Amino acid sequence: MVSAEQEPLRRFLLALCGDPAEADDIAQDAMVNAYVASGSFRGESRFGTWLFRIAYNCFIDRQRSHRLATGPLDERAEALSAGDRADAAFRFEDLHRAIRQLPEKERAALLLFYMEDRPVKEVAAILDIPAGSVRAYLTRGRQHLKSFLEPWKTK
Amino acid sequence: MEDEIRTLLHEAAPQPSDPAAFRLELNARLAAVEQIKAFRDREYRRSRRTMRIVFAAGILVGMVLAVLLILHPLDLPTLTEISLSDILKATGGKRLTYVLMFLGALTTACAIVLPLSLSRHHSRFLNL
Repeated sequence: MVSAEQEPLRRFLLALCGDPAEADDIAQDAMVNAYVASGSFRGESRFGTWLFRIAYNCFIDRQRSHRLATGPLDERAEALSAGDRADAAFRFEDLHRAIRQLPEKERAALLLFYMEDRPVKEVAAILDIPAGSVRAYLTRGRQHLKSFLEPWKTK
Repeated sequence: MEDEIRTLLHEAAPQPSDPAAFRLELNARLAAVEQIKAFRDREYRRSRRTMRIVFAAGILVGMVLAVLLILHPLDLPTLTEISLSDILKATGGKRLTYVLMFLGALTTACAIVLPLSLSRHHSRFLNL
């Protein structure tokens, strides 16, 4: 179960926090926490939802304790698209920069819903907010990204 | 708009690096967790055993003291009237009484201090 969720979880955390080392560290913490607390998993939600929720809480905890790297956004965007140096990668850097500027919950909701294809109900469970709030975050997130998408569409 | 964002985010999804290295580190962390859990269980069992021994010793010493007190009754004044001079008067010259009082005080101290220190040690450990 953990193996199946490993890649989506790492991808989500990487897109969320922008620093590959930090993202992997959070993913490791989340998996260790899930392992320790596996006895309390009651199966009310999917295992993946439960794991993502733990990981998101780990991310929030790190942010609160100011442990997240505060390096320049350009460096982080570069790290995100390090594999591809084509025009597309350049565009993705812009996109990730735009996403990074979104409020934390909005960013997480967008990434989970659009990038990880999680249904609204599951996103709500992961972020521990009502489904209505998720929809509101998604609407706001779309509006925020609209300014980014307009020039992209014309390219 | 929805589809555009979805497509774009799918295309732009970052690729996590080297899953094998990640798994290796995860396994190392899980092994460390297992070690900590084993240590915690060992400590927990040890503290439980110590508490049982203290409890049994307390009962035993209490019973011995009770028997000794029955065999050698003391003529102590009532608690409300008690004072240091009364105690000295009552215990004057009786060596056994001093020993019994000392043992009683020791047992009480053990009964209070040991469980407290054990539980504090235990809760500190659980917070690791």
